[in-house]
Amino acid sequence: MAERNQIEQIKNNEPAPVIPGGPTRLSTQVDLGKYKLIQRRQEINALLLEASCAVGSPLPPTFKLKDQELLLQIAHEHDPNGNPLIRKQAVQALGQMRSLEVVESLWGLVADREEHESIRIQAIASLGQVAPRLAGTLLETCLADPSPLIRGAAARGLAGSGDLGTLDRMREFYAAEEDRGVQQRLRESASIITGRFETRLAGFKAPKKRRGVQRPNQDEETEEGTAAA
Amino acid sequence: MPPQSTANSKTTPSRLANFYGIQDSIPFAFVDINQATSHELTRYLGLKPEIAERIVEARGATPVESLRELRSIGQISARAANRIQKRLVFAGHDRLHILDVSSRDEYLFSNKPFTLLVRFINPSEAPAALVSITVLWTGEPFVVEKEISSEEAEMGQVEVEFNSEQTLPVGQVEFRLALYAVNGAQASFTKSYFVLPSNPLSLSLGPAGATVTGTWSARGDYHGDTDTFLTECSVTVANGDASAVTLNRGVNWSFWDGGVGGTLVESGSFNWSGNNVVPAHGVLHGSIWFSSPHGSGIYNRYHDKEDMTLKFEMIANDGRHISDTITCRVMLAYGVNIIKVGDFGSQEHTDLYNSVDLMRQIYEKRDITLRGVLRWIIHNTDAGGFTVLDSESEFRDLLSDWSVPNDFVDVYVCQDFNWSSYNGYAGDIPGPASKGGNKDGVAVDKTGFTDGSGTARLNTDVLSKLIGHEVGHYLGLSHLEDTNNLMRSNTGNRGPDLNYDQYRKMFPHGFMVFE
Repeated sequence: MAERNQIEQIKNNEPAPVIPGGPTRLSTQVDLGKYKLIQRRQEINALLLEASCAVGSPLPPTFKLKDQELLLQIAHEHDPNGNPLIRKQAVQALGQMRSLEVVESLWGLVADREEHESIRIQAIASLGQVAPRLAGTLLETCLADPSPLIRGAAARGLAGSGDLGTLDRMREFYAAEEDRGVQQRLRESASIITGRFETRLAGFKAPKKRRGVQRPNQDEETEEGTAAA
Repeated sequence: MPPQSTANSKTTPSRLANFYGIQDSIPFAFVDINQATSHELTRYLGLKPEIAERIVEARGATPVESLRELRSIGQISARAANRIQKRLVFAGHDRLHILDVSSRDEYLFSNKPFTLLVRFINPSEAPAALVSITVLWTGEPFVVEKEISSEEAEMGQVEVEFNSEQTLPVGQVEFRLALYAVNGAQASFTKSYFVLPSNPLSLSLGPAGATVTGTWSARGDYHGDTDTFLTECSVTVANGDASAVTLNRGVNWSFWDGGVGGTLVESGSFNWSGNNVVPAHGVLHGSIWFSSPHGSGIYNRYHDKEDMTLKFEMIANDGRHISDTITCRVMLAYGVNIIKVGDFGSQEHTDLYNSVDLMRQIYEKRDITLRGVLRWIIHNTDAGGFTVLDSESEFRDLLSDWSVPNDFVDVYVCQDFNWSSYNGYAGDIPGPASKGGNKDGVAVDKTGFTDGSGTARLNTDVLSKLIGHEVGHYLGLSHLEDTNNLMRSNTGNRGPDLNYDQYRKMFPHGFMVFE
């Protein structure tokens, strides 16, 4: 390995590659003036992913009520070749609009077990924002979902929408729950609902926290020879 | 006499020029339940013939509008209905979908206008109105758009012409299509071609393992155990002719300082190993590598951090000479620990490492490579709540609780981000050059989706740039809103470009080595 100051001495005296016909080509674009919804769709696509990197803590984009139809459409598009993050962000944006008209649609996404987990998780969060009280009842049913990611998201959602009556049912699920992540979410939500410190909460006893920094396991699917240090 | 470099070669499987991209969208057969014959229902959906017959007879004059209705008239089990539902199109559904994209003349030839055919399905009442094609090639991306006529919308097919000012040179090209209906519905598709030579045989050189568009350098890797530099690059021979071409096995190579015609550093010839036949309208791939021992001309140039030009020449049996050149240089390198947070499906695993490979190519275009990719996993049973990141404090806890004790960048690939509208984060800009604490890594959303066949996948195009973006932060880069730049804050319009200032900015990071 060379010294760091050698990095500064890299010399390039080779000619740049030449692209036949030059590096640019003429674009041909249609005036979208008569296609207002297509124009807005392209704008929404860009807006939805505007605050996607958490560096700098940008605020999520805001949308107008008139965008609701397009956002609902994006949320329900099953295009396997599209950017999956756009769809997820559309579901998130629906939650921010807090319009009761979207509740049925969001619940449809949550309840559809064929739907991708990332969409269902986001729909659970959005549902909690739009209709917290109604969401509490619906999310309790998600605690029995086969996917631990969905159970975890439902447990988290109950923090904002569950009441003391929810706590008993959460305790029952906690006793039967084997996934550490879901247990953790249930404990956190229970402590938020009761306003009490989580480790003292009856029926939600936390396991001992591991000490020190853990090293991940080597991935068993590693192909021989590809993991060169 | 000073030591001499030695050369070797190998051939990799050929690919057809009109089915070229390994990351392309897969043409997919959707079934319109109100139009399909009983044979099609059996063939494409795997339904038993008696059930298919029952559906065709029962649907009659009233269009089937839902899965529930279909289950009722076909007496289909819930399990079977779940299996086929993503492949079905019902009356009135807003399911705009691109079925396939192809060239009218089957292949694309250099410097010649061409036409792409786009086939789509659209049972919605809102007609398809616009197709927009972004062209990614070795030059700057450009866009070709076309309005869709009512006849084309009815037919489900539109032709998009690329005129004489939009022709392409020999090499790979990727077309990214967006099809819009008047109500704003959108469908996407990606299709790649290798533009064949009109002359009609060409040779091109690229860095080893490269599959993306663009022109960049081959690298000289130093191997301390043998005190040699190894230069490896890919060789692509494209045949635009309708008959196969056989190449002579004897090939010539030369390394030059200051470009071909400058100072000759070393030269030689060797016999090409393996297949030497380029199929009709096909592409032959291979790789060559040069081992340069201490004291050889190539070794000395690399050691002095000087770039060189490699010229490589082959001769067809009919006497045609084909050659290309590429700049060779030593590269900066960093390593990544790819850490799956929670369990991934087998196809997701494949997609993840394809994404890492694409990310490597993005950096190699700016002369920085990966010196290693180590694969790690935190299984569901251990990951706890870290599978879905909900907040910055949870991200910090993940970095505090888990770490790989080496000098590679820790990249945590989580099942999901449920934290504001975010899908990635870096511990710091730049991240620390030692492990420990809560800033020593980056995390990204795995970008999962379910494909048309119901398989859980990751979007390799988005994920490769997402990982590359967050690692860029770790190596010292801030957001930069230049067109097509990797460090654009918006995941949707982020490109693969890194400029020279960004390259220099990453030099000083402690995880960056010069090997």
